[in-house]
Amino acid sequence: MTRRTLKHSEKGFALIFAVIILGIVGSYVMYLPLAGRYASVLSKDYFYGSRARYLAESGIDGTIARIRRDVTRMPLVQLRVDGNGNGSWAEDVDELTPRGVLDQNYSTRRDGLDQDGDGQIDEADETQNIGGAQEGFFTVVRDLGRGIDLNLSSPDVALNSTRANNALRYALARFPEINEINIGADSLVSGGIVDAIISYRNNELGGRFHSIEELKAVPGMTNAIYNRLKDFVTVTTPDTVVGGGLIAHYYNNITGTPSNAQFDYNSYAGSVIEKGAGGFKRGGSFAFYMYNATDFEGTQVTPASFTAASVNPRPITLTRQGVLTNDASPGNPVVTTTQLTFGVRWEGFIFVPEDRFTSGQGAPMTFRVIATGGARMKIGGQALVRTNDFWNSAHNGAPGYSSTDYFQFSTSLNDFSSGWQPIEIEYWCNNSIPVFILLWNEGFRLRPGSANDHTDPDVDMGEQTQSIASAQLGYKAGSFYEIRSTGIVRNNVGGIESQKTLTGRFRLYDFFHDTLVRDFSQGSFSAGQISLRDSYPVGPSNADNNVNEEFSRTSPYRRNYHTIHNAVKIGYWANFDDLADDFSSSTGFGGWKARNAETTLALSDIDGDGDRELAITSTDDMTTDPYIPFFDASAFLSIPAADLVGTGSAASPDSAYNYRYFYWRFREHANRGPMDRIAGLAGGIDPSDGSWKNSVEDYADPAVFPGTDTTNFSADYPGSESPDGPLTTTCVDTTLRAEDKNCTGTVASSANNDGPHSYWVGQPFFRRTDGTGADRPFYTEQFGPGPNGTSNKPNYKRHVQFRFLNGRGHVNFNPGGPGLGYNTAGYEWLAVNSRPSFSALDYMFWFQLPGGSTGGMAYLGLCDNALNNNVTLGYRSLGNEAAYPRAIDSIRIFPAIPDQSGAQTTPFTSRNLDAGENVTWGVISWSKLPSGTWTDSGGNSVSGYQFSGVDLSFGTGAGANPSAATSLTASNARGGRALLGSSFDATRYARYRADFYVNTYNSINVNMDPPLLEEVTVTYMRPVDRVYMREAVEGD
Amino acid sequence: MVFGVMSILAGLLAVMADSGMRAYRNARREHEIVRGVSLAFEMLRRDLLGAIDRDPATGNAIAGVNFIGIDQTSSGRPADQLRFIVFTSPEAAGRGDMTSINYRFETVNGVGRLSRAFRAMTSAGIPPLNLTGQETFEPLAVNATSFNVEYMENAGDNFQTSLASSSPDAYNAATEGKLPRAVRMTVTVQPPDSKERSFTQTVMFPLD
Repeated sequence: MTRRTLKHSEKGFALIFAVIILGIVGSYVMYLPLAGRYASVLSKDYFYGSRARYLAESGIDGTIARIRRDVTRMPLVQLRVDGNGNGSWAEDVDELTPRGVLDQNYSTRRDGLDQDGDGQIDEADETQNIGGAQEGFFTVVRDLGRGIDLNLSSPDVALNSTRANNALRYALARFPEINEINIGADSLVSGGIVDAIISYRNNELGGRFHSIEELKAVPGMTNAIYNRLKDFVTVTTPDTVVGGGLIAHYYNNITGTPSNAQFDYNSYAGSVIEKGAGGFKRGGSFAFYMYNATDFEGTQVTPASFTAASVNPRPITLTRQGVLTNDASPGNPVVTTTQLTFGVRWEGFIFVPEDRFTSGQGAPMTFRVIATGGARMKIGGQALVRTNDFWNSAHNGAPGYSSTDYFQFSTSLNDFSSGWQPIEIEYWCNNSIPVFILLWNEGFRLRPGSANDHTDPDVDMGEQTQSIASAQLGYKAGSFYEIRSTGIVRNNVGGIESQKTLTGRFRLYDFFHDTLVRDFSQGSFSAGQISLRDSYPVGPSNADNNVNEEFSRTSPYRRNYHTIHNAVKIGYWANFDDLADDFSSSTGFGGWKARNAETTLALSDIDGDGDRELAITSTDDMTTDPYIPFFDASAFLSIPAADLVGTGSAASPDSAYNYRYFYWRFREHANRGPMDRIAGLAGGIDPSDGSWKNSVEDYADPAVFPGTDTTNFSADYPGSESPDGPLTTTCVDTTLRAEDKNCTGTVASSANNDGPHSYWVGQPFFRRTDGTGADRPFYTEQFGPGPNGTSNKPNYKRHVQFRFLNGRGHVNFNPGGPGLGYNTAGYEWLAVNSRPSFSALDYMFWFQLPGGSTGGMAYLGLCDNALNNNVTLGYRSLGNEAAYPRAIDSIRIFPAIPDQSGAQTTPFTSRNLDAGENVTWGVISWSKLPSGTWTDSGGNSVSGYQFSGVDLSFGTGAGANPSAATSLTASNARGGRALLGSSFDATRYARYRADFYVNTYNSINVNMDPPLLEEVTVTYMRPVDRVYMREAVEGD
Repeated sequence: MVFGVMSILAGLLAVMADSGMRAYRNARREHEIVRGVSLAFEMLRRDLLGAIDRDPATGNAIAGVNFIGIDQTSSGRPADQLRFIVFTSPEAAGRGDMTSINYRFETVNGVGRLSRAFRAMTSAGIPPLNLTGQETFEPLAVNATSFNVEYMENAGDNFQTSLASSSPDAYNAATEGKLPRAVRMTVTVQPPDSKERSFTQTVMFPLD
């Protein structure tokens, strides 16, 4: 055996080889911990990344949930920060609680044919008589909510000379039930497939097609049939929720004749938002409801009520395109001898696609109305069809004319900027076949809400299912009980919130505005007796308080109201636009009408000059003098000066005017406690510098006003200088001199059925009422003596001012005499002569009488400055005072303070809610209750007397006025919420009732506020239309 | 001596190799567990966003209870359950896709996990929340140590640990049939040889 010894070189190689091997192995081994480390880091990264993502999603979802949670109950006044900075509460609400208010889309188009045969396709082709053979208009009804449309303008539909009638037949048909697709000889599909489509849609798809594929899936749908239909099918945006439409206010009667036809506002039947039946539900024709009584207590009148031919009146079918007919069959209304008399006003907003100016920008939008009865329309506040054109003039369809005839007019829309403009259409039917058809020449959109609430339909609303809305029903503001159906309360100046009206501020009460809850009645206030008429915007915003816009976006409605005993008091806030009001075209003063205590106060463009006047009327006046402009100079000032102010002198009084006095009577409610302070003050404008002199050189010393100086009045009329001599020492006079004294227990005049405190301000000047002498004649000199009564200054403008302090008082103007009328029937709220009673809270109303020997009522002004104890300047005329050329633009309404008799229970207040469809009423809650509302005159709580409380009941029902009397949800509660059970599910109407009471009554003179509810909220849940899912997207 | 040095070196390398392999395996396991939680959260979010309390076909409230959150513990740790009805197909308005979904924390062979089971609608109508017992619970997040669900209901309420005030099965009687506004779910997992980790996710119900 040979042993071989390794050479040195070979040993070195082996070593190197071993080192290499070890190096390779070592490298791999070194890699392992690094790889483990990297994997660990990556794993942690993944962990942290995942957790961060979920935390981020959680933060977003949690925040949104909190916002939505809070929005449903948070008083909206707390929502000040608006996403887009325009301060719109409504937008805030919409932004935070998307309700899916998108638009229906209606449109028409011409067929593009040479209708008049002149060889050209031009505008003339668009204006052919719809009743004739060459009609060029066809109505396209496009219903986004349904997902498919039938395009009625297709020539395939209208192949022959009767195509207009065919289109009309469609319009009159109960679209979109698609109950008829066959048209004459142009049979598109058979009735069987129509039935199949309807059945499939209703039974399988929940009433809605979502795609062409679904339409193709209809049993019996062949390619041939589908090809016939496909051109009439429009696939709309999936998941679009339908809103839109117009609000329609119905009146059950018409007064007057065609020469002076009016809605009978006293017959207001109700309002609906005319869109898909049942609110947001898809499908169905328009629904509207009429009642055979104005209080909604009566039988609801529906088209179904008139299926029997013997029923009178005949049914009305209101279709989506605004067609009224008394016959549901398409195209051919049946003439019957049973007719209807009613009026309807559609209100809402129309989208003007582009600017329209006569200068050439934009083509005019042309509207055509075919109607019986009377009709007129306004867009953007401008009358497209002037009053009397088709409203009052005798025309077909009116009494004495054939009931089958109709009239028509076309009108164009010019001089409007693009965007949402308010639209108002009025139609009345008086014993004729009710037909109202509105056609138009291009597409536009309608919506019932205000323009600024609009959510563009192109915006994907994303996920939304159920709606929970709240209705804030009551709110305490100072001494007012303010009803806010929607809770939309705005300050005109951001950042300032108050519980009462402050200087230069206003609060908006948006009656009947919310499309979710229509607060249509006042429950026990007498249902339906409060409503509001206010104005359209005229803009631009007024720099002083910038409220025009606020109102413009929330006050497109017009209602009349009635004031009733103890239930309502009306305040108004005057808002001004910058348009000088030219009353030259006013109707003139027609004399005061003695009426009962039903009064309409309206804001309307009485004189047709484009802005509005505050006007008043009593209900019965509607037949002859619809509205009497309250601040219209040429009307109001037409009171003969001689009738208002006598022309005699102290030495020779004009005996003819012995009783032509006027006075203001300040009356406290008998059960409401004393009114703290009343002051009467006269003053004048110094002609030398035009400044207001608190004039009081004559009547009272401003330095001491409201003063403790008991010489205020009497000293200025010492002895014979005063027509009535020194003031008497009665309570009235004492109060006048020392304003803040109460006159407890003193009855000024029991004969007038007053409460214990009645003040007759002004009587020292004008009338003796103390029984010590005859009424004194009133003459100019008495009203306008110079300083200290030493001489006349006839060139002074005479003023009489009144201010009303302490909100519990209220005032009733009952001026006597031929100029201002006289009420002998007592002192109703807003009684005779339609004087608005207003809240006596830091307002001053200002009557200015021009100087000279004759007088007239020049202005009624409103001071919007806070009146502390001094009369301040800053009055503004509500009329056309030169320095303030403004017009009234809005009003507001305060329901009354609950009666406070001191008894155990005061009349309850209740409110009815209409959700528009069956909803699940959820929770009624109230954030504050009247604890501590019983205070002394210093505002301090009175120990032992803080027992005001409330019993809160809530009821629901299918009827419009469910009883709330039987389901007490809370008693003597001081705040909280009552949860409603499933028994309240699926009803359309709800009502709450609040019985206020105080446990103890004490005769001491406490300044006791009535118990009031604040921020009562009812939530409810709409049915789920659809449920949406959001796919989890990586990186989302 | 050379071989002695090499032996020491080799031993060191072996230790390093073992340590590295173990770290790698742990990291992967942890990754898988996190992935499981992610899956569970995705499923939960998807299901919860489809939760309904009304019949989409009729718009009427679904009778009885249709959302239950059971607040309970297991071995002292939250081991909640969720039961609700989902409408899984947004594109159809019919009722055929309504499903009863159950999530629960369970321990199988000593290992905790969050599991999901469902019961589809049949001709009998909307499925009840309670399962028949025949359904299979799919494990979603393994190595879970707790599953806690909190609920946001109405105004003034923050997340509460339970929908229930008294009943063990516990939905709020007053809001029976309704959905909470949001749920906040916390899942903790603990991979072997690792510390416990928690994940939280909030899902808002698409209520207005």
